[in-house]
Amino acid sequence: MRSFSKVAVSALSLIACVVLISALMIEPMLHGEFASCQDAKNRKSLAGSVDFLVLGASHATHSLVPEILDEALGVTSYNLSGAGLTVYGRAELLKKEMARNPIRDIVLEVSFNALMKIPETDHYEGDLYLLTRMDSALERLDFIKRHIPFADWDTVYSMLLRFSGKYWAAKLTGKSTHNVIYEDKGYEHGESADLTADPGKIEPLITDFRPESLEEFEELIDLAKSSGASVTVVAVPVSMAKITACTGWDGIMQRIQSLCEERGVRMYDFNLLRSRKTLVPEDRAFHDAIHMSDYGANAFTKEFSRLYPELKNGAIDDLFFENYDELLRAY
Amino acid sequence: MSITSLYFPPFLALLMAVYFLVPKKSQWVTLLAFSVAFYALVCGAQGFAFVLATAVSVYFAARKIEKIALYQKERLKAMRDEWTKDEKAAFRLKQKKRKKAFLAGTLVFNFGLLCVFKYSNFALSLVSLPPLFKWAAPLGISFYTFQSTGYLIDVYWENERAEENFFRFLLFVSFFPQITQGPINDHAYLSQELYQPHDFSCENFSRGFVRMVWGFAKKMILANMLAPIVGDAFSNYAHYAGLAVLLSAFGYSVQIYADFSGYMDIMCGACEMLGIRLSENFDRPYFSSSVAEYWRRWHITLGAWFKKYVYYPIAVAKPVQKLGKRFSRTLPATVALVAVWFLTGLWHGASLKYLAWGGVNGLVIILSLWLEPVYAKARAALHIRESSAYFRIFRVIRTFFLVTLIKVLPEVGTLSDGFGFIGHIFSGPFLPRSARALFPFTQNGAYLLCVFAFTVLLFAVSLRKNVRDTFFRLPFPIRILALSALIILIFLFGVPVTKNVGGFLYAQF
Repeated sequence: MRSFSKVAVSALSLIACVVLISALMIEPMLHGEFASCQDAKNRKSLAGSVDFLVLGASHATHSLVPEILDEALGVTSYNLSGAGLTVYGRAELLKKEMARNPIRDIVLEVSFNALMKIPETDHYEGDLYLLTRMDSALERLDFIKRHIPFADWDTVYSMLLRFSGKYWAAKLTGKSTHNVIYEDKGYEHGESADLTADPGKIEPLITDFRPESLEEFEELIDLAKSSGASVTVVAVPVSMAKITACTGWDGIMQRIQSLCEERGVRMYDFNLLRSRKTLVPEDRAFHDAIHMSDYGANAFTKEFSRLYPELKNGAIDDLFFENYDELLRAY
Repeated sequence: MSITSLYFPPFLALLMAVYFLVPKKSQWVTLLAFSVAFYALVCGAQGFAFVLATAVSVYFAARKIEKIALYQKERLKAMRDEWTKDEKAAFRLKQKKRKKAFLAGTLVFNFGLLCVFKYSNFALSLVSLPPLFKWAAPLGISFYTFQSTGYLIDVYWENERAEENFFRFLLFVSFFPQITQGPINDHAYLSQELYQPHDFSCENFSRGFVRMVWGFAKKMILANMLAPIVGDAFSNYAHYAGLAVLLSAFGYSVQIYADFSGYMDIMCGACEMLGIRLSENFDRPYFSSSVAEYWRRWHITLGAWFKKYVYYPIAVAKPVQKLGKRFSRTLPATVALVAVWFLTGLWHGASLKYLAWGGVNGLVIILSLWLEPVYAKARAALHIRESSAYFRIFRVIRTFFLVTLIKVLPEVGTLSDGFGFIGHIFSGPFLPRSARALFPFTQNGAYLLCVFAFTVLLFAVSLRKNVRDTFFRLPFPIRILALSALIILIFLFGVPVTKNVGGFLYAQF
């Protein structure tokens, strides 16, 4: 018995030590000036006043500017989007904001890779950023328990450690620890790049859907509709360099379109906007092949805001090409 | 379920809880149940059918052989005064033939299974026929086949009693810590460890746990971080400077040692926590003074198996001894070594490159054996004391170079790739003209620093024989801190690479 109690004490000491070291590494990152923490604080301070939500992945963080939406539409908006934000992650954020805000409009952004079979580690990267945007350790643990399979807890823990390692490395070398600047209610700035000169490396499209993501997206739409708000699904523009370099667009986007129709919501693919050539020119509207620059985001958000009242009523189909083939023929 | 997945610690914790809570006489039953469960979880229940086939065939053959031997003794005793010398000799010969038939039949069946799974497609390729056999070999077939047949031969030689309880024997064959990658244990030794009851011991638990964590660090951090560097060098050696190619060969030596010995540490550590001691498979092999010594310190139990069941029987066989008397006293050892290294090469892989690898190892050892008098004369002429520290350091470095270059031969790709790889070290430009030519060593600085730091740590730990004793002499808070840091490093560096790199290298055998 004495032997066993000695081992028990040692085991508990070891576990406590590991937890303590991990906490010392990770917690300061979550409470410092790290940008994701600012997002949680911003949202808390605005609770009760937000009535317009944008929710998507990094394409949306770079393309819809809340400040412009507020002015143009007379709303109090927030861009809830996040880099690599999974569909189930979006549902978590939406639930929270729906519970504390009088939401009237929800814009769900869905891109070419949101519902596809990407490596699980890519999912967890999005989850990692989401974890840093949560308010408490309990909330984080609860999220991990509900959404991350037990076999992958080590992967997520490892990613958190490495993330905090980068944070400490930056801190110790005097570099900024901002990763994403959430000063502008969730909008991420980006400098313009001339993609006509150098579009950079372009990955091919993944054309296999992840069945779980399709189900989760249906649930997300239902969740958004349950708030009573007006729900619109959009795909924001990516560069023509990306569109021309890859095949399979119509297959992917039309599948998403059908899913939205089954769920009773309209989807607008702004890649097919007829005026995109002048609205989002290839030489300055993009930061890279799939994210907009400040120039592009400003222009796009203004146009989006102008069209939005009619978008909600589904009246403006002739502003869009029928499909990607037609878009490419026009270009 | 992989050893490096998060399912393994709860599996082990459950085993420990049940093992120490059940009545002592049922502890071995717990081990058997968990061994079967482990095998089923790792590679499916159908794979266990082959383990069962080996266990059943060897169990019954051993019982039969022992029965014949017992019958022989009793009959000879009973007919001692009635039979003539010739009648007794004829009777002994008849019983020997019966025993041999059971032995041979069972060996043919079990090695036949092994050959079908591992070597049939290789044999077909030698006569330019397409592969026929598409099934994956049952996990650990080489290891449990060798262990079981060794036991059977020991019973035949009357060095060992046949196990009476089939389920105890099944545990000996299927004990999960050693079924996939060894160590290959004698029944005489392992049965003592497995069937004896064990009390919970704080010392065993703690020492075993520390060893297990160290094993995980070796495998998940060092071996798996080296894997992509070495893999890239093997695929693209022609683009790199000779120094980079040489360093990557050293990297492979470290990788495979960390991988294999890491697994041993994990499993031996787990067993130690239960109070069970498995045979050691490594004894600081890279500190060997000769290739022969290296193979006595690397994969010790496989070498011991070949020594006991192949080398000695051939070396002491009458025809071989006659050859030795006629031509040279070194000849019996040479003949035995040729056989051992042919089989060792075959064991490591079903391809000509592994046979060549075995051949090169054998050749180096045989040459050392034949040239030893010449070396002794040279040492005397140069006034080199064999016991001198400098001479020993020279021999250790020379041996490390040799075993490294031999080791990479079959691993680069084809055999000609292997020779090309080694040739490139010496034939191309040795020093890199640019950082690019030192790639893959110009990757992420933190990554390389971690690999280097761990290699140094491994080297430092290997210098001392009883480093765990030293560790346990440290104050408790320091031990806890050191272990915690190691566990965090495993998650920080080891987990991401492990997901990409995958399983253990020796599990393929």
